[in-house]
Amino acid sequence: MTFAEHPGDLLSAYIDGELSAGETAAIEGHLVGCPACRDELTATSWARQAMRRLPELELPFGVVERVLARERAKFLPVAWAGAAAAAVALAFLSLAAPQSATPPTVGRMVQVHAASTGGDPVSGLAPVAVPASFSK
Amino acid sequence: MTGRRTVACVAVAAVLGVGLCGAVPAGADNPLDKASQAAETVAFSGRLRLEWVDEQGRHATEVNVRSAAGQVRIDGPQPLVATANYRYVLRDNAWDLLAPGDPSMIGAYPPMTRKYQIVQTSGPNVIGRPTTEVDLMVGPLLAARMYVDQATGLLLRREELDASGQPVRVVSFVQLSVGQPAGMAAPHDAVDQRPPTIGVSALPAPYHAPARLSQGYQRVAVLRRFDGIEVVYSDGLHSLSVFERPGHLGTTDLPSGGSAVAVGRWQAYRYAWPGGQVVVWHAGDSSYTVVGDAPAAEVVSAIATLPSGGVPTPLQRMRRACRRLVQAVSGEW
Amino acid sequence: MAEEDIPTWEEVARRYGRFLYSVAYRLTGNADDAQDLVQEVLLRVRRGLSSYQPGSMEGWLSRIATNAFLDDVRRRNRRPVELLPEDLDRSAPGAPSADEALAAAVLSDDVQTALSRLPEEFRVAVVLCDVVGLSYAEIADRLGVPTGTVRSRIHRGRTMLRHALAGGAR
Repeated sequence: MTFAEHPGDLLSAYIDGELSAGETAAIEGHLVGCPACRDELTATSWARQAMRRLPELELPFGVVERVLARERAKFLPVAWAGAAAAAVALAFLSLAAPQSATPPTVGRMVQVHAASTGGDPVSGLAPVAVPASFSK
Repeated sequence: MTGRRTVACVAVAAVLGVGLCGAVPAGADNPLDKASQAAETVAFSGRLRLEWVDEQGRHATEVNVRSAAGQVRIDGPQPLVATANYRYVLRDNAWDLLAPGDPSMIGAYPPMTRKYQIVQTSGPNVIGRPTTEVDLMVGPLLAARMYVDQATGLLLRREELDASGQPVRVVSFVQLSVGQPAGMAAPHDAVDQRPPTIGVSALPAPYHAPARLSQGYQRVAVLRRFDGIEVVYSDGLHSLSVFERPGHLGTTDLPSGGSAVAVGRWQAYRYAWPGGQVVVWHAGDSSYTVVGDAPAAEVVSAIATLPSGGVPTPLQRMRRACRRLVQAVSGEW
Repeated sequence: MAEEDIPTWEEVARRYGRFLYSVAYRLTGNADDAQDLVQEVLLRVRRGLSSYQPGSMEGWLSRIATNAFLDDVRRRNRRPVELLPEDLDRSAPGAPSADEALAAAVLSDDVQTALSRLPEEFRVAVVLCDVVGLSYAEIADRLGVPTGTVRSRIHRGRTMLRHALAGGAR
């Protein structure tokens, strides 16, 4: 079997391996004698490659967080919310507040900021002595 | 060593005619300047109460403070030591020296009076001690109120207020004993984590934090920090550090619980810390973290004037194209 | 193969966020719509996770993304199909010259621009095939059209893309 006419749309299916053995053989038979279709095949492959080489994109931060926050707020039972609030308050009030909740980058930047700037060391630095309770 | 550096630092400041060494704001009328000197020259021990307000409500905690021989030590969950020019942070049982680098590379802080009107009156007694009250006004609004000990010059109580006049942060002595404190030891074996400074007048490419931000913030230092830079701004009272780093933030790098704010055309997240605000976002090929000690609205307003980046320059596009070509040739696709 | 655990909703959001955003961006062509689409997909994932059968998570997510996108397109009542230029499916343009081979290093921004200009039907078919990696049968099932239509859309989509890129989308 071979194609009397140009296979047209079937060329992409051919590149994608989406044709039956018979169709594949027929297209290959046609391509041998048709430079125009060979050219179109090359050009189509090029477009296909351009698409497939598109890089995976970084998700802008905040998208997942926004949905998570919205859903957490919606589904967090009242009792849990109360307990969480109490835990946060306790963490703030406790002098021995754990530091592990602070992601190193943000927490460290707070320290570095305080060290980079001046002013009265007592009132300026006292807040840094209390680790920021960014909860992960 | 510390002493030598201090002397050199003072000499440099004198030569340059800048009235600061390290990071102390300048100006003869600057109440913080005076309080800072008092804290370093008066030996004392005491207890500080810290109150702050964020979206979750009002919080309070107390920490101990001592000063002797030019060294102020704060003993909270995170121990800290400050001298005239240095800041030490205890981390993993070792001291990190974090203070700014070469003081001659740090620009002059704007005088407090450029933005704030300073009103001094006789104040009430604070922990039984007569004070001078110093009000910092922006137009008709009270931005901060300070109570300075008449006997020692120490800042006994400092209140920061938001635009609606509500206090957002109060640091006050709840106990003070003037006299030599017991058991003060200088930080030993500190690991020098001071970053190289970059001249404050010019930023290296590809960074572009401007010399001024709105709300009267002026660029006073540019330092290499982490894998990017830290640009420090001051309005004479508050300060703001802009950390700019190349590359994007992963979504898992962020703490949860922030509130969404807009920075230019970018979406950012704001988090409260006991001393102020943190705002995080990325724009174009860079990620930004801003740490500021002003009220939230002021921090967000000030950083709105940071360049928003994002559009690749023709050069960047060309570089990207070349990188792709190389990848194509080397068969990495 | 070991039995796949059904991930929690939050795990899906964290682990597949990039994939979802990439597909969404290729479909919508701009960051704002792509973010909205990812959020919509995540909300639908939350509702549908209990019925997820362990298998191809990407395939399942792309189904939700495609449906959400097509729903959105219908809601906005966009023009379903734009007319193709007359000569598109008849002419067989020459193979890329050496210069065009260099253009293989074409900027992804330009590919995206060209992709965004494709009529929806063609864009969806090409994205599902070349970005998501679905078979023609899966795409036909996803879109509810015969496989022959999928073939035609993919080929015409690619033809339009290469014309746009060769014509200087830059």
